[in-house]
Amino acid sequence: MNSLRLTGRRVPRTCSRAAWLLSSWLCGVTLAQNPPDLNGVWQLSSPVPALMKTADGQEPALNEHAQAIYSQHRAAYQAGDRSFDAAANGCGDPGMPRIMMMSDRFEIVQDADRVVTLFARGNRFRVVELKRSLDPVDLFYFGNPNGHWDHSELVVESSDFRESSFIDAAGMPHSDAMTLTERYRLSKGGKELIDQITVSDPKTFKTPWTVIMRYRKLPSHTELLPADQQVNCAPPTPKGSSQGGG
Amino acid sequence: MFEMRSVPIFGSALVLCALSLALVPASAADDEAAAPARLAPPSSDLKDFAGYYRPDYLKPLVKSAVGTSGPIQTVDHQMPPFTPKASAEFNYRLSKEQAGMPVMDTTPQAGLPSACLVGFLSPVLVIANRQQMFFIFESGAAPIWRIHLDRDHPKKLAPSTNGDSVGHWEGNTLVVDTRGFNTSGHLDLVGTPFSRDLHTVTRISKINGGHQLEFLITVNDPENFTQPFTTRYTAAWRPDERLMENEIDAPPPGAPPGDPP
Repeated sequence: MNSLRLTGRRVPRTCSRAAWLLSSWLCGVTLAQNPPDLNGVWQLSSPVPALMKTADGQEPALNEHAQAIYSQHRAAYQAGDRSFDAAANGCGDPGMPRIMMMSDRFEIVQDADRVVTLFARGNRFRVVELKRSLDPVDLFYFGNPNGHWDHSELVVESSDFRESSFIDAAGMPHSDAMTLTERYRLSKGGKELIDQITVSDPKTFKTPWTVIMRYRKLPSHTELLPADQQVNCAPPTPKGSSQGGG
Repeated sequence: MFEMRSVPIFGSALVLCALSLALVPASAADDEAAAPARLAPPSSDLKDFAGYYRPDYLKPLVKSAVGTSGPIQTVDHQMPPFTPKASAEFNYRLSKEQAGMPVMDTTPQAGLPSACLVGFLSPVLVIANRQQMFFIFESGAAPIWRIHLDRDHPKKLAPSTNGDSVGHWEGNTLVVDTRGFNTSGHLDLVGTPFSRDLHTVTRISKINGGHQLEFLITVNDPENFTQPFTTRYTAAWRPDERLMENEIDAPPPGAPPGDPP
């Protein structure tokens, strides 16, 4: 008889398959209705090196043109010159995926329709829609993100990036053809958030590559950005302005 | 035969169409706040504010920048009860605004939510979890209004850019108490001033069947106003909206160093 042994009882294989499919479907439905709770303030578990490495420890395979740009930026970076990097002083836009590799805190707020990430850096936010697809209307530092739950993982697909940001602090470039696939999942009983980021950009890289980021959850009521650390990135008040009265 | 039968049917359709047009309330037809009919309706839960809204235009009391509701105005459409010092300051800033040199170009500090509701008229997203509700404005240097739902103001309140906001429900109205600002700034984009002692109480409710949010903001700041006053602004339910990026590319000279990887 074509069968499997499950919990000591012989059952027909077709029954076991049906049970597996049913349980998988029920599990999927349950997770869709009660997705993992990503709410909270998060921070990198450990610092990320300035020079980007893939999940298997290799340098992303840049094409010739991109490699020339990166070499130029990297030489400047190693000489202490950050002038190529608008994000170096905490105000310019680091964009995706770099902002996810910075040590600043971020906070996730989610409801049934969307997942919002609030970044301590520069009061930035990223809205991932879960139930509607955003049309590409422009190029953005955070791209055009659309998300969905794949069982216990939040999958975010993004495209339409502005190419003026960099992937790492040493100025690894990307183009407006970059697409990101992020898979967020919880581990360690919800105390750790893992983001597996796959970068695809045929104008910049020879092949897609993946990096895995890990974040630790900070205690409840942790402030995203303590008042004494707030950086005002708006233009400064020039002498003779109206500030302070007429 | 077909034509003879089709005429009365067509005529009936015309009558029905005319009737339906006539039955549309003028207020709804003229209401800029009304979302297009094809859009998803707002949640019937009057405490569920989640989703996108766009602040409604309110005719400014004075000549103001196009596309804004001008300076903040009281609920009965009057100028706020300025102290003499605040009046002089406001009028100076207004003159700069009307001369094409708005102070907001050089002094970035604008108070939430009033400045975003009256100034930018750009979309706002509301999202909440068990502990907090967020109003995320598309525009503004510090556009995230965080309202704590599970705690009171800290005993030792560290002053901050947007102050500290705590909310509680009174029926279906969220009552938000905000205090603890770290600087002086503007209640709008024209230059209605506020001091570090600013204290606001904002009552937020769904109105018009959930198609609008109403903000009743009571402003108390004795340094700038002779008595507390209340403003009223609304925002329309717009599930077709999204938030664009608010670019801040130019770093200020002397800004503290950041923390890039």
